[in-house]
Amino acid sequence: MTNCIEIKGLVKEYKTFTLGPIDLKVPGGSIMGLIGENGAGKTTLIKSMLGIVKPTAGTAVLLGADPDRAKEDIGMVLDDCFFSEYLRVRDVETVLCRVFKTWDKGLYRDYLDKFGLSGAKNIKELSRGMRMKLSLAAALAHRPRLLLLDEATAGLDPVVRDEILDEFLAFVSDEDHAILISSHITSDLEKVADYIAYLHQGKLLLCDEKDRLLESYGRLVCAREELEQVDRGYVVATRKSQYSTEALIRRRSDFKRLHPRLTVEPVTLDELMVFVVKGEKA
Amino acid sequence: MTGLILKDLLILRKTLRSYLFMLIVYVGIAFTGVWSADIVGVLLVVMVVMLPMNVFAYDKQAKWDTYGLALPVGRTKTVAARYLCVLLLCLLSVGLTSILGVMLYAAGRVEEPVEFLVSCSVMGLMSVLVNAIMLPFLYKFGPERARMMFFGIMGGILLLVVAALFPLGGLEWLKSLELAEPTPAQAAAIPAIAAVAGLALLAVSFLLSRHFYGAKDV
Repeated sequence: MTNCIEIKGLVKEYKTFTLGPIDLKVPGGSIMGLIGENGAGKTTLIKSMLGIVKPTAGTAVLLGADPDRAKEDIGMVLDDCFFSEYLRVRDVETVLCRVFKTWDKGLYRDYLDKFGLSGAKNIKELSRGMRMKLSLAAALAHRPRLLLLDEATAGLDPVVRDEILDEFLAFVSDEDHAILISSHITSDLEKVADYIAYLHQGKLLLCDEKDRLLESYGRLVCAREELEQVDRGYVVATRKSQYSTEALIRRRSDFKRLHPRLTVEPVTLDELMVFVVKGEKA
Repeated sequence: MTGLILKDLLILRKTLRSYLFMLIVYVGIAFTGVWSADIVGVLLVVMVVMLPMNVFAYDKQAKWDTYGLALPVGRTKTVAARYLCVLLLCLLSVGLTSILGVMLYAAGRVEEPVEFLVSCSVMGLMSVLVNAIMLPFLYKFGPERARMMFFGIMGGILLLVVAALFPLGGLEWLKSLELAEPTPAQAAAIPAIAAVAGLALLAVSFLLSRHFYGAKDV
């Protein structure tokens, strides 16, 4: 299986924020979910990979080539529709069919039909959900091999999100295709992602297969005295309140064997993020 | 690149329509003889200067730059497409002014066709000149700041000209200079000189804009 994304030592420095160094690989036929709090560097990472912002250091190889050469095979969707309100839905095709050599007019119209978009409609008149669908149709109509999606499902209702997630799953059924999707809606990522990369304050804290990540970590809920007796090597972070004590545990199955009387529940991606950001480090 | 030029023209579609309406009104007034035909040329210059500003503002509103740089076009071609669009608009305005000139001449509202031809060339050169100054500002500072700066610079130049003319006697002094009328050969050369000068200005301006856009993190 070849990698659709290979990032090595990528750094982007701003006056008040530094992203990286980031090392990341996304294999073909897979979806990588990029999670992290606001300002963690998710958008900067996607922009740096494409050269939209110039990296301070490091390299990104997309689809086995330099990003500029790979752009013909990349589809991008941002958190908003990037087409001017003054355009009509069919104008998007007029523009992009002259930009992408592989633009497929039939496929674009198929997507418009599928998403219930009329070509004559002004973009100004479209709801947010419809605009996102338009962005997705535009990103898919040139038959890309890599999709880069930045908060592409934000603000969409669950039905639309589900439709779009189905599109993503169909897209990666081809082993040559891959998706990197940043999202705050971790339930979406739990549904479709094969890998999870967790960015925190510009640093890549975790990057692993989603199933392994969710199996490996667990949430321990116990009394404060019980927590003090557990092996600290298993504890990643803790959260203490007046009524309860919780801890994020690594190597959950080993921990359970060691402490059979304590209850360790599976952890969600949301809980993982909250523990890392707000929990006390063990 | 043609896709990007088309994009600019398509987002200007509505503005172009309203400008065309204004133009028809002004041409109508010029035909009645209330205003001089020169006012149409001035109006076209103002329009061609405002249009690129609008494109930059619309692009910023839609966050197009971020998306545009993800397209397989490249920064140099992106800037080139914008310049070609501006050049196209300038040519369109000169063409329209010339057609109107012929119509006004046929209607007997223009007495000196050679003078009108010279006037058209100067107007065309003016629209190229103003755009050549403004576009690098737009790339460097974005539409809001560039607009303010541009109007500041233009206002400053106007003030300087007025301040320089005032002690000499103002417009009366200019009229007293009695500049010689160009010969037919000179008049015929003026459009060609204006075209070459306009292209040279745009080329220098393009290099500056490409430099600014090439270094920009969007």
